[in-house]
Amino acid sequence: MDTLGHLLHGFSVTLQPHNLFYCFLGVFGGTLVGVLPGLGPQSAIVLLLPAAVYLEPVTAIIMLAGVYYGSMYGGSTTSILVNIPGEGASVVTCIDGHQMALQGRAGPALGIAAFGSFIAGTFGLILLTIAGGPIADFALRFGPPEYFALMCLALVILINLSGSSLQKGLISALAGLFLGSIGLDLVTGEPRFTMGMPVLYDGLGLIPVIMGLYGVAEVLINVEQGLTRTINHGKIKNLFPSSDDWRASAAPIARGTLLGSLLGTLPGAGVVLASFLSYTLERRLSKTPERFGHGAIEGVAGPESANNAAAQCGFIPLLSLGIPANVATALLLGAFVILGIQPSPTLISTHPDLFWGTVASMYVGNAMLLILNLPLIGLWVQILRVPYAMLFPGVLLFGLIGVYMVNTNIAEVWIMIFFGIVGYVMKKADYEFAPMVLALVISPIFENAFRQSLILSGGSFSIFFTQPLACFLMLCAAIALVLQLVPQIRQVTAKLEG
Amino acid sequence: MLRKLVTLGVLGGALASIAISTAQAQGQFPERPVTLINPLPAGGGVDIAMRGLAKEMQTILGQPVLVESRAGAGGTIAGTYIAQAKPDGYAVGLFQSTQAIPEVYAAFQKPPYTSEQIRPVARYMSLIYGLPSRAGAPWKTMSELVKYIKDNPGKVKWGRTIGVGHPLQLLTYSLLKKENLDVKEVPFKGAADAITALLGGHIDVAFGISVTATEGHVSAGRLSVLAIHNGTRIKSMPEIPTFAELGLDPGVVPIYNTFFVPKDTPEPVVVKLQDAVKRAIETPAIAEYAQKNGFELYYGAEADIRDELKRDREVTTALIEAMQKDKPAQ
Repeated sequence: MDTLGHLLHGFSVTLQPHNLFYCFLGVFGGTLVGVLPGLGPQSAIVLLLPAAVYLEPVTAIIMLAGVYYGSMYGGSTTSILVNIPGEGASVVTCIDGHQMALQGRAGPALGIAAFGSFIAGTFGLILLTIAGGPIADFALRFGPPEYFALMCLALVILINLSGSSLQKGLISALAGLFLGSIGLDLVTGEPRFTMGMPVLYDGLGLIPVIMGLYGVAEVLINVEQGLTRTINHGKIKNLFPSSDDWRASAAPIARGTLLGSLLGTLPGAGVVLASFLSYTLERRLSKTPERFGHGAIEGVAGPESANNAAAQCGFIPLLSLGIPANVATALLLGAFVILGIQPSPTLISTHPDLFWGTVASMYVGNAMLLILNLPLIGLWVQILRVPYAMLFPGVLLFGLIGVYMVNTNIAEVWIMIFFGIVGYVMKKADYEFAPMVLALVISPIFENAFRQSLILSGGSFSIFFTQPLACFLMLCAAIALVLQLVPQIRQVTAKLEG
Repeated sequence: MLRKLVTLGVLGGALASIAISTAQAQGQFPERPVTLINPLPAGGGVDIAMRGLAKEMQTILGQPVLVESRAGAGGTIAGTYIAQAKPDGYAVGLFQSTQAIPEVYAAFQKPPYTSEQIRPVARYMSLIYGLPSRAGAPWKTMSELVKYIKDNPGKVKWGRTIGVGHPLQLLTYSLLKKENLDVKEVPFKGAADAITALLGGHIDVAFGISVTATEGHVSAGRLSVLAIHNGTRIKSMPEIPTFAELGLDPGVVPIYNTFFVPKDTPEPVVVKLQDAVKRAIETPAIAEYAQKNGFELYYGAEADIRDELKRDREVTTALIEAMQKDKPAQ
């Protein structure tokens, strides 16, 4: 009852016309930067910060938070339509989402992504409302050994992402692990594989790599194939998910939501991992895994729900403890401070208006996003009729701008172009990008957590098994590995016997 | 005919605008917005400090003063940007102590710019860093921590927030070495990660976190700050002693933020900027802002900065050399 009372008070703050207006502005702007490939919530929040200081704190936070969760809605649009993910979280959506678009089912793909996002976002929000504090405290139990164990689990699951050829999948993943080791060594400060380029000191940026692999390479391939075609000549079948689609998607949305909520609260691990794990989970659980990669709607519903739940749950450590879960929430934390508020466990009691107002605004914002996104589907689908020659230069232009804006550094643009060429070669040789991207995300967390753990334990590996939570995750990883290997071994022995 | 007229008109307009812009170039600086370059990501302590100053400088210069983040490589990206910027005074970089003398890091990597390429404008401030400790630790004060470390060598988990060679890391190194303290130094990627690890009890203390970033956690009773690295106690946390008060001496390690412009910036422009920063720092508004946001105004004129840089070059080089020698064989 107490929570409900507070929440109702929060709504009374949110529903003031000017707060509603800025909430709408935030989610609308967020959708926009989410849709535009390469442009992400970070750039948008940085751009809006100087203006935000002239608003009331609660209004400013409502707007900036809206940009962040709004961008997660738009993120899948270009993945589905043109096979170019705007950010890490929508990389896996490309796999089946774009296949659906090629089959004339872009509408249902976009629709299920929007509904899944709404359901997942709202669920994450309910968690924040009723149990933010305890959940954030649980997330704090993840120290270096727990992160290492979690990354081991992720690495094992990564094998699942390899498409037709396990070898090529592994090569792609190993290349990603290597790319993730570029940068200054965390412990000694030694530069590794940086070739004297300062832009590489902090490691390869995820956005330039993704935009290069997917965006630039896609354009190069299409230039080769001739520019006259459009993505879809055929009839565009229904705009909204059918009841069959819903039946297939219900369970993946539920599982994706839970998985995303779990990972989203962990600082650092977050959104990208959630979407990848959800995808592999759905493929494993599916009775017809062979449909994945050829337009299975579960492969869109699951990951899209997972990344939205994760994004929404990123607010749990931010608002309950004052610790950021990722780059975008770190910027929001900065925004709080600039506005003169120090987020911490006491935020809820010292600034109840702000806390509950922001929480309530997210319920409103999520509803706005759904209402905003459904009519847009009809519009987005028309994009498929635009000839490649006109569509792709535009997509590429926004990609270039977005990549430049991340750190206003031209060197990042060169990285994007370099990975465009890498991506072109990989596509020609039939290598998948997804294992490489996920490995690139995992690699630095994996390595740093490993080294931190060993420093903490004085060099003993027992630290990964004496901590209950770490031990549990290690066991999960071991079980997952066995499950992966059994069919492989069976295949090999069958071959030997046959 | 009409078309010709239009073309002529457009051409004439273009010429006129060129003439106007040349005339402007010879006028008074500044004629368009001035950008302060932040070497760290937006939203952090330095960003917040810069925005406060920008607001005051805007009133003094009569032109918008913007803060733009060019983060990356511990400030090297921003440093290179300023060293290679057009020397017109419209891009002013904030350099964190040793960033202005990148030569001291030659042992790690070849510096992409040199201290010869930049010219000091004015020193602005230093953030105040504290030593936060996890809650529920067996020590309550800094002296108890020191005693605990001496009784239990190699047990205390001491978080580090920043890369090897950064003044904040050198300060830790210097302090631990001078006081002969043996701890496990656990590296983290940034202050936020270290705070999270402290809150979770995975590490015991961490150095390199500004007091502002820990304030909320301290008032919630989840962290306590054992000591700060500053000349005097601060108003927002009057009960917290300084390292020096406790007889702990990390030596002279440069921790402050100074504005620089490209070396060839015209003299009158530099003078104007120097004057604007000085007057902005003298306003009561900025003093209040600094206190609220946990940084210490630490003005210095060009001559002071040059002396200081000379000293810092020696100190830092010596520290890095000593550290390289200490490093266990790998």
